[in-house]
Formats: sequence, C-alpha cells, structure tokens
Amino acid sequence: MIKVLLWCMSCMLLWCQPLAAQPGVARHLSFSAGMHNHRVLDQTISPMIYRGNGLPLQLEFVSLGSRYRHQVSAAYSNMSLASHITNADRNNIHRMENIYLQLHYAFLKNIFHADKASHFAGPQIITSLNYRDLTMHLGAEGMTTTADHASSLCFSYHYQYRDFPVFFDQLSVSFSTALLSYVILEGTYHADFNEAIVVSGGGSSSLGDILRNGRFVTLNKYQQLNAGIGLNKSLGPRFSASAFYQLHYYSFNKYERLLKARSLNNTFLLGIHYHLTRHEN
Amino acid sequence: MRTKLLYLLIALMLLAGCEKLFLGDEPTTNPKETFHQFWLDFDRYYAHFAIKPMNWDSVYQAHYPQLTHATTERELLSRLGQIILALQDAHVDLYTGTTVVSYPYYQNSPLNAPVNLQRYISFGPGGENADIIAHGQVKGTNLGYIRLKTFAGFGKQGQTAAPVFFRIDQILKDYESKDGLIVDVRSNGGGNLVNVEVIASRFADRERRYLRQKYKRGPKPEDFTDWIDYDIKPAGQNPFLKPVLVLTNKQVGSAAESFVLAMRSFPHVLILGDTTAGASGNPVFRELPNGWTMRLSVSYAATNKDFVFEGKGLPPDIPLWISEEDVQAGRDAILEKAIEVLGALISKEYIQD
Repeated sequence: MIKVLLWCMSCMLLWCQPLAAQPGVARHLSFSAGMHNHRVLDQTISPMIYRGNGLPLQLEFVSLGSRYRHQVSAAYSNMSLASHITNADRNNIHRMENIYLQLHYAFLKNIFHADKASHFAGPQIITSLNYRDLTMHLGAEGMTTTADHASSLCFSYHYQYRDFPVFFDQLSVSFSTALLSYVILEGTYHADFNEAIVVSGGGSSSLGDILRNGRFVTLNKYQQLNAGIGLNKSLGPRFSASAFYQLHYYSFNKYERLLKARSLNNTFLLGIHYHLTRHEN
Repeated sequence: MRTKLLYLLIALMLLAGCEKLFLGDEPTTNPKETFHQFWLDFDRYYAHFAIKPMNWDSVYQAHYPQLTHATTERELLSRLGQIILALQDAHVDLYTGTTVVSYPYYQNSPLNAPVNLQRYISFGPGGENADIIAHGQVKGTNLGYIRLKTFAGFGKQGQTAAPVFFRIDQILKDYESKDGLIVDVRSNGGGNLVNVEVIASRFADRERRYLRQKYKRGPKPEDFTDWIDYDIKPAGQNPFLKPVLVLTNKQVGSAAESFVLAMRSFPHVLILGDTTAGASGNPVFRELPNGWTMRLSVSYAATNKDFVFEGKGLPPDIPLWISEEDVQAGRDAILEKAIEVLGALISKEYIQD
C-alpha cells in the first residue's frame, strides 16, 4: 500500500509541474492524517452492523484559479471492526478487517463569485474500494471475504470563503453525490458466491475477469454522498495547515432490493499543505 | 459567519451521528429475532430444500410463535438443533461456543477406517503420521500406497492450492516403476476443490467431466445459476495411468467426494470400500444476532451423469466393510481386498461383478 501511495504522489508531482508554470493559478500538495470512524452493514455476509476506528492517510493536489478548481486525492485506511456480538465467546469471534481506499478527481468551474466567497460546481470521479474479511468462527474456514468497488461520476459543489474572521484564513465546504456508477461484484448473492469467480473456474479468475463483470448503474442501485467542511491556516508563503471533517456514505443494492451493503464514514483530518506557487496571505 | 459555521458543524455532526438513518436497523439478541434471522438465512441461501424432507414455511409456523423474549438460550438451541438434525445435511452446523450441533451422518455406519497400516505398508519419509500425505510401498508387492488425510488448506494466493499437495509429483516420480497404486482417502472429510484437482489431475488420461454444480442465487426455491461443469485434465510431469484403487468409507465427504468423482471418471481407476457421505453442498458461514455461528450449503451438485448424491453418497465399484472381528484381529479387510484386486487387475485376471 505504501508503494501505491508513493506512486500516486509521484504522479501528482509529475502532473503538477507543467500546471505550475501557468500564471495566476495557486497549486498545493497536501498530506493529511487523522481519525476515521467506519460503520458498515453488508447483508451478503452478516445482518450485523460493524463499527471501528482507523488512522486514515490522504494525499491531495489542488489547482485553484479564478475560473477552475482541479482536485486529485487518494485516501487510505485499514482498520479492525467489531459488532455488538464480537467476542461473545472465545470460539465465535465475529471480527472484521476492513481496507478502505478512495481516489477522487474533481474538475469544477467557478459558477459564482462574490467578494470573498467563491462557488464551484462540476463533475467529480470517485473510485472507492471497501474490502472486508469477516472472521466469524475460530478456524480459517469460518471466514468470509467480500468487497464493494464502485467508480462513480458525481455532481460536486465546493464553496470557499477567504479571510475567515477567526484564527483561520479560509473556510471550505464541499458536497458531492453520485449520478452514474460502475460497480463490480454485481452477481454477488452471498459473499462466498460470485458468479464471475465461480463460472470461470473456482477462484482462478484474474482481476481483469472480475472487473469485466462490472455494470453501469444509477441511483436505484448505488447512492453515494460526500460532504465535508475544512478550515485552513497559513503558515508562511509556502506552507499552510488545515483541519478537515468529511462524511462519506454509500448504499449499494448488491442483489436486487434484497441484500444491501451500506457504509458510513466520518473522517477528521489534520493536514499540511505545500504551495507549489508562492502563497499570498 | 461564525454562527453559520457553527450551524453547519452541528448539522454535519447530527447527520454523522444518525447511524440508524443511514444504515437502518440491525437485529437484536433476543431469541425471536435470532430465530427469525436463522430461518431467513436458510430461506434465502439453502440449496437443498428440493431434496430434503422439510417444508420450511411450516418450520417457521411451528417454532416462531412459541418463542418469547423470555425464551432461554437452552430452549432456543434445542429448537434450532432439532431443525438442523432434521435437515440431515453434513454441511449444516450450529456453533454456540460451547456446543456444536451437526448431523452425525456416519454415526450408524461401520467406521471402515484404516486398521494397523504398519502391518501392510513400509512407509516412506514422514511415516504413517506424515502431514496430509503419507505414502509407502505395499509390503511384498510392487504396489504403491498413498494416503490423503485431508484436502484442506490454501496457497498464499488465496484460492490457489496448498503447496503440500504438489508433493504428489515427486511421489509419483518415485513410484513410476510400480505396477499399481492404492489411493486411500478413508475418513478424509474434504477441504478445497483446488487441492482435489491438483491430485486427481496426476491420474487423468485425458480431459473428463466429473462434477456439475449450481449455486443458489436468489430467495425463491428455483433461484439457481445454470449448471457449472467441472472438468479434470492431465497435469504434472509423471501422470500415473496404471491400475489404481481408491479406498473409501462413510466419512469421505465434501471435497473428498469430488476427488472420488474425478478419480472414478478415469478408466484405470476403481473405487473400493463403503459408500461415501453424500455431503455435496459448498457451505458458507453466517452469523446470528446472539453471537452464534452457523454453516449451510449453498450449492447443489450432481455427478457427470446427473446423479444427485447429496444425502445418498457415491457407491463404490467394489463394496466392502471391515467387520468388528477384523478390527479386533488387526486386519484391514478393505486394504487386503485392494491388494488382491490390484494384483488381479495387473495380471488382467480381474473380472468385475
């Protein structure tokens, strides 16, 4: 996973070099870490809600001009989840290991500008992977693995207010919701049965086979909501710090309307930003 | 601005706290909800209702109204236990932490397990107690003996075969000069199909269909996938195509029965011993709201000739039991018969009844 994060970071750096040469555009790279509260109900593996906290990492690149706002980010969290029956006894374990990965790309247009406030809106692409291993019973066979993977085209809105009056310099509020999504594991009825895997020979299918089993769905199958609020404080011409809170929710109808996977994440991040162009206070 | 920000933060925090709004309800630990979840999971996922003597709706009517919030764990376990035993499915279990309820599918059959193997076999490295695969030479003959104790285990890449099963290549290389082989899977309770295919493919003369399965994929009784065919094809450096006898008993179940199916599809292989368990459904684990765990079959299997062997087992080509007197005398009648039949097959004197 560290390799993936380094790769993402390198790509961001390479991509932002030519952009940095353009005048009048502020760009920054940021690294954030914090606290992540994750709750998931996946009826293909369990009727129970699993909850837990993790330490998320996030990398982000933002290019902000007077007309457009680009944002690329990658977030990762790995955590252990428990339900109210976890450790009910020493044989029935009921514990879930969860990996949560999100990639965002937003290309937003300034739709309204007034004094210190700017309103941006436009498309955003969010790819998320929520992978989980549920261990129910002592012994390797008492384990079930499943994942929700979706790439969504979203409508995104971002509000930014400069010269915030109290301590911080800038306030930002963002919101996005999925309109069209490409989801995989569509054939899943219960977690250990996935048509793509079984039909192609008992688990010997490649990642490509699984990805090809995906389908485009709309709001009747997959709903996603992101909402966030952040505050930024300048620390000089090149650096600034931020505090950011984000809520991410999705609901995925895995099998008709019968079996759902629902996930709710609350993330609080503290970040440090490096400004590729000199930052004016 | 400060007030607006405060309102916004409060709104987001309230929204974040509304777990019920976003995720919905989850069942509580009370006995009625536990029973309901147990019944519902079987109703949605269980693949064998068409061949089991049970009306699942009647089960709900018979038990659910009798349950209250005051029902004890003991009574709930008794009711769920009765239902599980009535299903007569080797892949259905309930684990409470202190108790395991399983259908004792081999309880009324003779054990027919290996007896006094040292008397017949000169075991190779690891001896009789070698991990998973024990092998050796049948004393006084030019026959090899391989005992497969389980098909459990995975490789590091998840659903790949466990490395120990690839030892079969070296064993078959060592035994390439043998006139015949005995493959003993008695009391092998199964494991993973990928391991089965590693072993069976080393005996394949050509690609052959050995198993068909369909998976439950919806809540209605008829909601199944199409049949998925499983073929076995030759693999490995040293395929063994001389006469082979596979030894079975009533404890041969699940993936070990798939092994028997694969082996009996080859013309140079005969099956000897007792009928197998008839445990064909791939099981999944599910959890109940009170912390118990259960296992249930989610697939429906048939042989390459569309014989549904769930609950019936696979009959051997040569049926034979070990009598209590034989056990007392330290005689493995099944192994002795295998040596005799294999000798006759090699000298082409064997005529099957």
